[in-house]
Amino acid sequence: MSSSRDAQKAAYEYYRKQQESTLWFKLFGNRRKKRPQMSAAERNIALAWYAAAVVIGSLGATYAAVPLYKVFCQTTGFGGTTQRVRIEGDGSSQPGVIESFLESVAGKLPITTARVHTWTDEEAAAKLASLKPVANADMMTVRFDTTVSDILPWSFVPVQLDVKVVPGETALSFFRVTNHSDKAITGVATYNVHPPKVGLYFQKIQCFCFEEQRLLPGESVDMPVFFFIDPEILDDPQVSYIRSITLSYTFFQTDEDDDDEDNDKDSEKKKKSVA
Amino acid sequence: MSSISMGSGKQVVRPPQRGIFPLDHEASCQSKMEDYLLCLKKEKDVHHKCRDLSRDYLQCRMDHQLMARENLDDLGFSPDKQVQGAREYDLRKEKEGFVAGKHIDKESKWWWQRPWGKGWEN
Repeated sequence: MSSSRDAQKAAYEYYRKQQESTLWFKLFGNRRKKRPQMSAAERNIALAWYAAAVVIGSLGATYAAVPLYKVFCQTTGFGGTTQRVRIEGDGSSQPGVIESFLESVAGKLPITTARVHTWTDEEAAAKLASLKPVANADMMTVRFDTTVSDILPWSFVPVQLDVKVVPGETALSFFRVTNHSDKAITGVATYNVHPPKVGLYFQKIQCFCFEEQRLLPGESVDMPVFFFIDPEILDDPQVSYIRSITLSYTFFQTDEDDDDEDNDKDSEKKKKSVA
Repeated sequence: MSSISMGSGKQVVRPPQRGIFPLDHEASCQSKMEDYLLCLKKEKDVHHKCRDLSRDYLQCRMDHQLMARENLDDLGFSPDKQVQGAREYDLRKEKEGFVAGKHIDKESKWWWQRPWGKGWEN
Protein backbone atom coordinates (compact mmCIF):
# COMPACT_ATOMS: atom_id res chain seq x y z
CA MET A 1 0.00 0.00 0.00
CA SER A 2 2.79 2.40 0.72
CA SER A 3 4.02 2.02 -2.82
CA SER A 4 0.73 3.34 -4.14
CA ARG A 5 1.02 6.28 -1.77
CA ASP A 6 4.58 6.96 -2.96
CA ALA A 7 3.32 6.83 -6.51
CA GLN A 8 0.59 9.33 -5.63
CA LYS A 9 3.14 11.66 -4.06
CA ALA A 10 5.38 11.40 -7.08
CA ALA A 11 2.48 12.24 -9.37
CA TYR A 12 1.58 15.31 -7.24
CA GLU A 13 5.23 16.49 -7.36
CA TYR A 14 5.33 16.08 -11.11
CA TYR A 15 2.22 18.12 -11.77
CA ARG A 16 3.22 20.77 -9.24
CA LYS A 17 6.54 21.29 -11.03
CA GLN A 18 4.77 21.48 -14.33
CA GLN A 19 2.43 24.16 -13.03
CA GLU A 20 5.20 26.19 -11.44
CA SER A 21 7.06 26.37 -14.70
CA THR A 22 4.21 28.14 -16.52
CA LEU A 23 4.17 31.91 -17.01
CA TRP A 24 0.73 32.25 -15.42
CA PHE A 25 1.95 30.75 -12.19
CA LYS A 26 5.05 32.91 -12.15
CA LEU A 27 2.93 36.01 -12.40
CA PHE A 28 -0.10 35.15 -10.27
CA GLY A 29 0.44 31.86 -8.55
CA ASN A 30 2.62 33.00 -5.71
CA ARG A 31 -0.07 35.30 -4.38
CA ARG A 32 -2.12 32.42 -3.05
CA LYS A 33 -2.03 32.57 0.71
CA LYS A 34 -0.47 29.63 2.35
CA ARG A 35 -3.03 28.35 4.82
CA PRO A 36 -1.77 26.15 7.60
CA GLN A 37 -2.76 22.65 6.74
CA MET A 38 -4.90 21.12 9.45
CA SER A 39 -4.60 17.51 10.19
CA ALA A 40 -7.65 15.26 10.11
CA ALA A 41 -7.86 15.24 13.89
CA GLU A 42 -7.83 19.03 14.04
CA ARG A 43 -10.50 19.26 11.37
CA ASN A 44 -12.69 16.83 13.26
CA ILE A 45 -12.35 18.81 16.46
CA ALA A 46 -13.26 22.03 14.66
CA LEU A 47 -16.35 20.38 13.18
CA ALA A 48 -17.35 19.08 16.61
CA TRP A 49 -17.13 22.61 18.02
CA TYR A 50 -19.26 24.01 15.20
CA ALA A 51 -21.90 21.31 15.72
CA ALA A 52 -22.03 21.92 19.46
CA ALA A 53 -22.41 25.66 18.82
CA VAL A 54 -25.39 25.01 16.53
CA VAL A 55 -27.10 22.78 19.10
CA ILE A 56 -26.59 25.22 21.97
CA GLY A 57 -27.60 28.15 19.79
CA SER A 58 -30.87 26.52 18.80
CA LEU A 59 -31.62 25.55 22.41
CA GLY A 60 -31.06 29.15 23.46
CA ALA A 61 -33.28 30.42 20.65
CA THR A 62 -36.04 28.06 21.78
CA TYR A 63 -35.89 29.41 25.31
CA ALA A 64 -35.73 33.02 24.17
CA ALA A 65 -38.67 32.59 21.79
CA VAL A 66 -41.23 32.23 24.58
CA PRO A 67 -40.94 35.70 26.16
CA LEU A 68 -40.15 37.33 22.82
CA TYR A 69 -43.32 35.90 21.27
CA LYS A 70 -45.36 37.04 24.24
CA VAL A 71 -44.04 40.58 23.90
CA PHE A 72 -44.72 40.48 20.16
CA CYS A 73 -48.30 39.30 20.67
CA GLN A 74 -49.04 41.89 23.31
CA THR A 75 -47.71 44.72 21.25
CA THR A 76 -49.31 43.84 17.96
CA GLY A 77 -52.48 42.21 19.25
CA PHE A 78 -51.88 39.30 16.91
CA GLY A 79 -54.59 36.63 17.11
CA GLY A 80 -56.78 38.65 19.44
CA THR A 81 -54.43 39.01 22.41
CA THR A 82 -55.72 41.61 24.82
CA GLN A 83 -53.61 44.73 25.14
CA ARG A 84 -52.30 45.83 28.45
CA VAL A 85 -53.94 48.92 29.80
CA ARG A 86 -51.44 51.73 30.20
CA ILE A 87 -52.40 54.14 32.91
CA GLU A 88 -51.12 57.67 32.40
CA GLY A 89 -48.35 58.73 34.69
CA ASP A 90 -47.72 55.33 36.14
CA GLY A 91 -44.00 54.77 36.14
CA SER A 92 -44.22 51.07 36.80
CA SER A 93 -45.86 50.27 33.49
CA GLN A 94 -43.35 51.93 31.20
CA PRO A 95 -42.87 49.96 28.00
CA GLY A 96 -39.58 48.15 27.87
CA VAL A 97 -36.95 48.46 25.20
CA ILE A 98 -38.15 45.43 23.27
CA GLU A 99 -41.77 46.58 23.44
CA SER A 100 -41.04 50.09 22.21
CA PHE A 101 -39.03 48.68 19.34
CA LEU A 102 -41.80 46.24 18.46
CA GLU A 103 -44.40 48.97 18.67
CA SER A 104 -42.49 51.10 16.22
CA VAL A 105 -42.25 48.12 13.88
CA ALA A 106 -45.82 46.94 14.46
CA GLY A 107 -47.30 49.98 12.85
CA LYS A 108 -45.62 49.07 9.59
CA LEU A 109 -46.36 45.37 9.65
CA PRO A 110 -49.18 44.10 7.43
CA ILE A 111 -51.18 42.60 10.26
CA THR A 112 -54.86 43.29 9.81
CA THR A 113 -56.40 41.35 12.69
CA ALA A 114 -58.76 43.16 14.99
CA ARG A 115 -56.98 44.76 17.87
CA VAL A 116 -58.65 44.09 21.18
CA HIS A 117 -59.01 47.05 23.46
CA THR A 118 -59.09 46.35 27.16
CA TRP A 119 -61.81 48.62 28.50
CA THR A 120 -61.43 50.35 31.78
CA ASP A 121 -64.63 50.69 33.81
CA GLU A 122 -65.23 54.34 32.97
CA GLU A 123 -64.77 53.71 29.28
CA ALA A 124 -67.14 50.77 29.38
CA ALA A 125 -69.78 52.79 31.22
CA ALA A 126 -69.40 55.71 28.81
CA LYS A 127 -69.64 53.40 25.84
CA LEU A 128 -72.73 51.74 27.23
CA ALA A 129 -74.42 55.08 27.86
CA SER A 130 -73.75 56.20 24.30
CA LEU A 131 -74.69 52.89 22.71
CA LYS A 132 -77.31 53.15 20.01
CA PRO A 133 -78.84 50.33 18.01
CA VAL A 134 -77.68 50.48 14.40
CA ALA A 135 -80.48 51.63 12.12
CA ASN A 136 -81.52 49.52 9.14
CA ALA A 137 -79.27 46.65 10.09
CA ASP A 138 -79.83 42.95 9.64
CA MET A 139 -80.84 41.16 12.78
CA MET A 140 -78.39 38.64 14.14
CA THR A 141 -79.66 35.47 15.76
CA VAL A 142 -78.00 34.72 19.06
CA ARG A 143 -78.42 31.04 19.87
CA PHE A 144 -77.91 29.61 23.32
CA ASP A 145 -76.26 26.34 24.02
CA THR A 146 -75.67 24.76 27.41
CA THR A 147 -73.58 21.95 28.80
CA VAL A 148 -73.31 20.56 32.26
CA SER A 149 -70.28 18.75 33.59
CA ASP A 150 -70.95 15.02 33.93
CA ILE A 151 -70.51 14.86 37.67
CA LEU A 152 -72.86 17.73 38.33
CA PRO A 153 -76.44 16.50 38.98
CA TRP A 154 -77.95 19.68 37.61
CA SER A 155 -80.07 20.34 34.60
CA PHE A 156 -79.18 23.50 32.76
CA VAL A 157 -81.31 24.70 29.85
CA PRO A 158 -81.77 27.96 28.02
CA VAL A 159 -85.35 29.15 28.48
CA GLN A 160 -85.45 30.63 25.00
CA LEU A 161 -83.42 28.98 22.28
CA ASP A 162 -82.53 32.11 20.37
CA VAL A 163 -83.01 35.85 20.33
CA LYS A 164 -82.82 38.11 17.30
CA VAL A 165 -80.86 41.26 18.03
CA VAL A 166 -79.50 44.20 16.11
CA PRO A 167 -75.90 45.34 16.82
CA GLY A 168 -76.00 48.00 19.50
CA GLU A 169 -79.19 46.76 21.11
CA THR A 170 -79.04 45.54 24.70
CA ALA A 171 -80.86 42.25 25.13
CA LEU A 172 -81.90 39.95 27.94
CA SER A 173 -81.93 36.16 27.95
CA PHE A 174 -82.58 33.51 30.58
CA PHE A 175 -81.23 30.15 31.60
CA ARG A 176 -82.84 27.76 34.04
CA VAL A 177 -80.79 25.65 36.38
CA THR A 178 -82.21 22.91 38.59
CA ASN A 179 -80.39 21.02 41.29
CA HIS A 180 -81.69 17.44 41.16
CA SER A 181 -79.67 16.07 44.03
CA ASP A 182 -80.28 16.13 47.78
CA LYS A 183 -77.17 18.13 48.58
CA ALA A 184 -76.39 21.81 48.23
CA ILE A 185 -73.95 22.11 45.38
CA THR A 186 -71.88 25.04 44.18
CA GLY A 187 -71.15 25.42 40.51
CA VAL A 188 -69.30 27.82 38.27
CA ALA A 189 -70.15 28.65 34.68
CA THR A 190 -67.86 29.56 31.83
CA TYR A 191 -68.82 30.64 28.36
CA ASN A 192 -67.73 30.49 24.74
CA VAL A 193 -68.81 32.52 21.76
CA HIS A 194 -68.86 31.02 18.30
CA PRO A 195 -67.59 32.14 15.73
CA PRO A 196 -64.47 32.96 17.73
CA LYS A 197 -63.77 36.32 16.09
CA VAL A 198 -67.22 37.55 17.10
CA GLY A 199 -66.15 37.07 20.71
CA LEU A 200 -64.36 40.40 20.48
CA TYR A 201 -67.66 42.17 19.80
CA PHE A 202 -69.97 40.21 22.07
CA GLN A 203 -70.10 42.28 25.23
CA LYS A 204 -71.89 41.14 28.32
CA ILE A 205 -73.15 43.75 30.70
CA GLN A 206 -74.17 41.34 33.41
CA CYS A 207 -74.34 37.57 33.58
CA PHE A 208 -73.87 34.68 35.94
CA CYS A 209 -70.53 33.34 34.79
CA PHE A 210 -67.20 33.06 36.60
CA GLU A 211 -68.72 33.23 40.04
CA GLU A 212 -69.74 30.36 42.24
CA GLN A 213 -73.47 29.84 42.35
CA ARG A 214 -74.85 27.77 45.14
CA LEU A 215 -78.06 25.86 44.67
CA LEU A 216 -79.90 24.20 47.49
CA PRO A 217 -81.17 20.65 46.97
CA GLY A 218 -84.09 20.57 44.58
CA GLU A 219 -83.87 24.28 43.89
CA SER A 220 -84.53 25.75 40.49
CA VAL A 221 -83.28 29.21 39.59
CA ASP A 222 -83.57 31.41 36.52
CA MET A 223 -80.35 33.15 35.60
CA PRO A 224 -80.38 36.11 33.23
CA VAL A 225 -77.71 37.31 30.84
CA PHE A 226 -77.76 40.94 29.76
CA PHE A 227 -75.63 41.56 26.69
CA PHE A 228 -75.18 43.54 23.52
CA ILE A 229 -73.27 43.20 20.28
CA ASP A 230 -70.81 46.00 19.65
CA PRO A 231 -71.82 48.04 16.56
CA GLU A 232 -68.17 48.02 15.48
CA ILE A 233 -68.75 44.48 14.25
CA LEU A 234 -70.13 45.99 11.05
CA ASP A 235 -66.81 47.72 10.35
CA ASP A 236 -64.77 44.54 10.55
CA PRO A 237 -65.04 42.88 7.12
CA GLN A 238 -64.04 39.53 8.55
CA VAL A 239 -67.16 39.24 10.72
CA SER A 240 -69.63 41.82 9.43
CA TYR A 241 -71.48 39.26 7.32
CA ILE A 242 -72.17 36.89 10.22
CA ARG A 243 -75.85 36.50 11.08
CA SER A 244 -75.80 33.70 13.60
CA ILE A 245 -73.87 33.72 16.86
CA THR A 246 -73.82 30.93 19.41
CA LEU A 247 -73.28 31.60 23.07
CA SER A 248 -72.54 28.40 24.92
CA TYR A 249 -72.31 28.06 28.67
CA THR A 250 -70.84 25.20 30.65
CA PHE A 251 -71.37 24.55 34.33
CA PHE A 252 -68.68 22.93 36.41
CA GLN A 253 -68.88 21.77 39.97
CA THR A 254 -66.70 23.45 42.53
CA ASP A 255 -68.01 22.37 45.86
CA GLU A 256 -70.47 19.98 47.36
CA ASP A 257 -71.60 19.85 50.94
CA ASP A 258 -74.16 18.00 53.02
CA ASP A 259 -76.38 20.64 54.49
CA ASP A 260 -78.34 18.95 57.25
CA GLU A 261 -79.71 22.12 58.73
CA ASP A 262 -81.17 23.33 55.45
CA ASN A 263 -83.18 20.19 54.70
CA ASP A 264 -86.27 21.27 56.64
CA LYS A 265 -86.59 24.51 54.72
CA ASP A 266 -86.08 22.81 51.41
CA SER A 267 -88.93 20.36 51.73
CA GLU A 268 -91.31 23.30 51.53
CA LYS A 269 -89.79 24.65 48.30
CA LYS A 270 -91.85 24.10 45.18
CA LYS A 271 -90.16 21.95 42.59
CA LYS A 272 -90.51 23.71 39.28
CA SER A 273 -90.52 21.55 36.24
CA VAL A 274 -88.07 22.30 33.53
CA ALA A 275 -89.71 23.87 30.49
CA MET B 1 -63.90 24.27 28.45
CA SER B 2 -65.98 21.54 27.03
CA SER B 3 -66.33 23.10 23.62
CA ILE B 4 -63.00 23.42 21.86
CA SER B 5 -62.96 25.75 18.90
CA MET B 6 -61.28 24.49 15.78
CA GLY B 7 -59.35 26.60 13.34
CA SER B 8 -57.91 30.01 13.87
CA GLY B 9 -59.53 32.09 16.50
CA LYS B 10 -58.19 32.70 19.90
CA GLN B 11 -61.07 32.60 22.36
CA VAL B 12 -61.66 35.96 23.97
CA VAL B 13 -63.24 35.50 27.36
CA ARG B 14 -63.84 38.57 29.43
CA PRO B 15 -65.61 39.37 32.67
CA PRO B 16 -68.97 41.12 32.35
CA GLN B 17 -69.00 44.88 32.56
CA ARG B 18 -71.36 45.26 35.49
CA GLY B 19 -70.42 42.09 37.27
CA ILE B 20 -72.56 39.14 38.21
CA PHE B 21 -76.32 39.00 38.72
CA PRO B 22 -77.15 37.77 42.21
CA LEU B 23 -79.29 34.66 42.12
CA ASP B 24 -83.03 35.14 42.41
CA HIS B 25 -83.67 32.38 44.93
CA GLU B 26 -87.19 33.47 45.92
CA ALA B 27 -88.27 33.90 42.31
CA SER B 28 -89.49 37.39 43.08
CA CYS B 29 -89.25 38.51 39.45
CA GLN B 30 -90.58 35.31 37.98
CA SER B 31 -93.82 36.85 36.70
CA LYS B 32 -92.01 39.63 34.85
CA MET B 33 -89.69 37.08 33.32
CA GLU B 34 -92.61 34.98 32.13
CA ASP B 35 -94.29 38.01 30.57
CA TYR B 36 -91.12 38.74 28.67
CA LEU B 37 -90.75 35.15 27.52
CA LEU B 38 -94.35 34.98 26.34
CA CYS B 39 -93.80 38.15 24.36
CA LEU B 40 -90.66 36.70 22.79
CA LYS B 41 -92.55 33.59 21.78
CA LYS B 42 -95.31 35.70 20.26
CA GLU B 43 -92.95 37.99 18.38
CA LYS B 44 -90.84 35.12 17.09
CA ASP B 45 -87.79 35.91 19.22
CA VAL B 46 -87.31 39.43 17.93
CA HIS B 47 -85.98 41.25 20.95
CA HIS B 48 -86.70 44.88 20.20
CA LYS B 49 -90.43 44.24 20.19
CA CYS B 50 -90.27 43.07 23.79
CA ARG B 51 -87.90 45.76 24.96
CA ASP B 52 -90.32 47.27 27.45
CA LEU B 53 -90.88 43.95 29.16
CA SER B 54 -87.18 43.35 29.54
CA ARG B 55 -86.94 46.83 30.98
CA ASP B 56 -89.66 45.92 33.47
CA TYR B 57 -87.76 42.82 34.48
CA LEU B 58 -84.58 44.76 35.17
CA GLN B 59 -86.57 47.34 37.11
CA CYS B 60 -88.06 44.54 39.20
CA ARG B 61 -84.58 43.23 39.89
CA MET B 62 -83.45 46.62 41.07
CA ASP B 63 -86.52 46.98 43.30
CA HIS B 64 -85.83 43.67 45.00
CA GLN B 65 -82.15 44.47 45.50
CA LEU B 66 -81.08 41.86 43.00
CA MET B 67 -79.23 44.32 40.82
CA ALA B 68 -77.25 47.48 41.43
CA ARG B 69 -79.44 50.55 41.03
CA GLU B 70 -78.71 52.26 37.75
CA ASN B 71 -80.38 54.56 35.35
CA LEU B 72 -82.00 52.21 32.87
CA ASP B 73 -81.56 54.81 30.14
CA ASP B 74 -77.84 54.25 30.37
CA LEU B 75 -78.32 50.55 29.87
CA GLY B 76 -79.79 51.07 26.45
CA PHE B 77 -83.46 51.56 27.32
CA SER B 78 -83.93 55.26 26.69
CA PRO B 79 -86.62 56.24 24.18
CA ASP B 80 -84.13 57.59 21.65
CA LYS B 81 -82.48 54.18 21.46
CA GLN B 82 -85.32 52.52 19.65
CA VAL B 83 -84.39 49.97 17.05
CA GLN B 84 -85.31 51.22 13.60
CA GLY B 85 -85.49 49.35 10.37
CA ALA B 86 -84.30 46.00 11.59
CA ARG B 87 -84.29 43.49 8.77
CA GLU B 88 -84.70 39.81 9.22
CA TYR B 89 -81.94 37.86 7.54
CA ASP B 90 -83.58 35.96 4.74
CA LEU B 91 -80.82 33.46 3.90
CA ARG B 92 -80.68 34.96 0.45
CA LYS B 93 -76.93 34.54 0.19
CA GLU B 94 -77.03 30.86 1.07
CA LYS B 95 -79.87 30.14 -1.31
CA GLU B 96 -78.35 31.91 -4.27
CA GLY B 97 -74.86 30.61 -3.76
CA PHE B 98 -71.88 32.88 -3.30
CA VAL B 99 -68.21 33.13 -4.07
CA ALA B 100 -66.06 33.32 -0.95
CA GLY B 101 -64.33 36.66 -0.61
CA LYS B 102 -66.64 38.57 -2.91
CA HIS B 103 -68.61 39.92 0.03
CA ILE B 104 -65.72 42.13 1.09
CA ASP B 105 -66.36 45.46 -0.57
CA LYS B 106 -64.03 47.66 1.46
CA GLU B 107 -60.70 48.26 -0.22
CA SER B 108 -57.71 46.76 1.50
CA LYS B 109 -55.32 48.88 3.50
CA TRP B 110 -52.27 47.56 1.60
CA TRP B 111 -51.31 48.76 -1.84
CA TRP B 112 -50.39 45.30 -3.14
CA GLN B 113 -53.84 43.98 -2.35
CA ARG B 114 -55.65 46.68 -4.23
CA PRO B 115 -56.65 46.23 -7.86
CA TRP B 116 -54.02 47.69 -10.16
CA GLY B 117 -55.95 49.95 -12.44
CA LYS B 118 -59.63 50.46 -11.93
CA GLY B 119 -61.99 48.37 -13.94
CA TRP B 120 -59.90 45.26 -14.36
CA GLU B 121 -62.60 43.39 -12.51
CA ASN B 122 -66.12 43.36 -13.86
